[in-house]
Amino acid sequence: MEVKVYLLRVPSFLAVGLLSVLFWVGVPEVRAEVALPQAPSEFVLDEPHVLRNQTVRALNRLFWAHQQSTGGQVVFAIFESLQGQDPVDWTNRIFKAWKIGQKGKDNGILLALYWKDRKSRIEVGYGLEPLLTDARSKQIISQTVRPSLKNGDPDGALLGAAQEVLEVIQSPLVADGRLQSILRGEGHLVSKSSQRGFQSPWSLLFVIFLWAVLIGFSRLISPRGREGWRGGGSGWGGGGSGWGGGGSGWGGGDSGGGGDFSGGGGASGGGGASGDW
Amino acid sequence: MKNFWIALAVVLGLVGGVFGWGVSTSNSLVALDETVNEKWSQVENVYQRRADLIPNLVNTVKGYAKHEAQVLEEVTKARAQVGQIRVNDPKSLERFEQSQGQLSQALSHLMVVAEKYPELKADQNFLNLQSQLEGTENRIAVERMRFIESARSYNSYLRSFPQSLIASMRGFAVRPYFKSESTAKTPPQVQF
Repeated sequence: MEVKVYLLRVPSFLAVGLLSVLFWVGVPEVRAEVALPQAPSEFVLDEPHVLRNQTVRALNRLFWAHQQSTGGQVVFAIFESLQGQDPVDWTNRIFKAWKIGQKGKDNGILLALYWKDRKSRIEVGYGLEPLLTDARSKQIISQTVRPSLKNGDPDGALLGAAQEVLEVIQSPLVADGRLQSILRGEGHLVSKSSQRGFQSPWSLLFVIFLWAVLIGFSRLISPRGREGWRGGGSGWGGGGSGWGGGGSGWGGGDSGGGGDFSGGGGASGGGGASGDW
Repeated sequence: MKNFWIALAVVLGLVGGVFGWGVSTSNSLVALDETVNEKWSQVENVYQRRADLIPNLVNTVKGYAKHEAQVLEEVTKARAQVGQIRVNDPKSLERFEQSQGQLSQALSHLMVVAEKYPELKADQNFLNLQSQLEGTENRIAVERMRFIESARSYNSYLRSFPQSLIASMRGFAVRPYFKSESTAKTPPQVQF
């Protein structure tokens, strides 16, 4: 009988060996003396409070819907300052710490603005590098973000960038019109072409009719999805939150709660572009 | 008799424990070594990516700046040299780093020269290449850093006691890595 008792000790030796190995390997290397910013709970972070509330809501809703339909994560963050760090290296480290995108697919994107330093940077996850190339990122930075910021319009800068980024990475939101409707739902007219579309009152009526039908439809197919998107909708009111609920219904209902960002384990390797304004 | 069994069990337990520890140490060494290999191949990838950009870049610059033959040749030469190095020991790693450094230098000369040609700077193709080159340099910095980190953690695991016993028994060797964290990160400043 005793033999067995002693033999039981063998795995504990193993365990001690393994534990020491794990401990050894698992000790994280502390490199930066400046602490990395905490991951936000939503897809948009606005430290200096320069964005309008409706912009934050629209972007959040967009990126949430994008995650629901593709699994990819897009995060836009405005930080107070760089705290003396190099924008490229620092953004890469933030990307790594926040784990933007899905593990293995690496389909995350981080647009970071450093407000006081007037620096911008797009960091692209490995998996999206073929679509959002360095050249394309540079164009977004220098032709969309930069001019708007120079004009003192951070809302325009981020909304424009969001639209372009989602187009470039072939988000289904672009093709099925949700991109436009979400932005419009928050009172933003997106592009010139959509503005033109609204000059006729009949087309506006038609869109409203479509909205009503779609909202009714989404209620029919997901009667439980009434929690809606948090924060609720303004402007389009119930209509806006109806879309949010519908979107998560179509996503297969894989997660409720709506709008919360939590890093999926994606990685990036310095792809993207940077600029200033 | 009972004492004999107890003693035997203790000895067996000890032997088994030591053996188990040896196996797990050896396995972690293998895993860490593989991580270093993986990071190294990423480093090679991004350097290759840069090398692949160069012919296109040189041709574009040539179209606007024919008289800059010297700088263009410097870049072409440095690129050819980079392609010849196979890294398999500390010496070749040093040569690899040196020649990549030369290529970085040559490229930054080329970019300084390009500043003198407004039409070149306005060329969409050139702008694209320029942002790709910039992105590739960033990727190089990132992948170098990750390679260095992985090699460091492998080396420090391998060299500390008592893992060093297993490492020398199983023939694991210290992995060489780059001396500096990044290649010339500060671009040359030019005034006109």
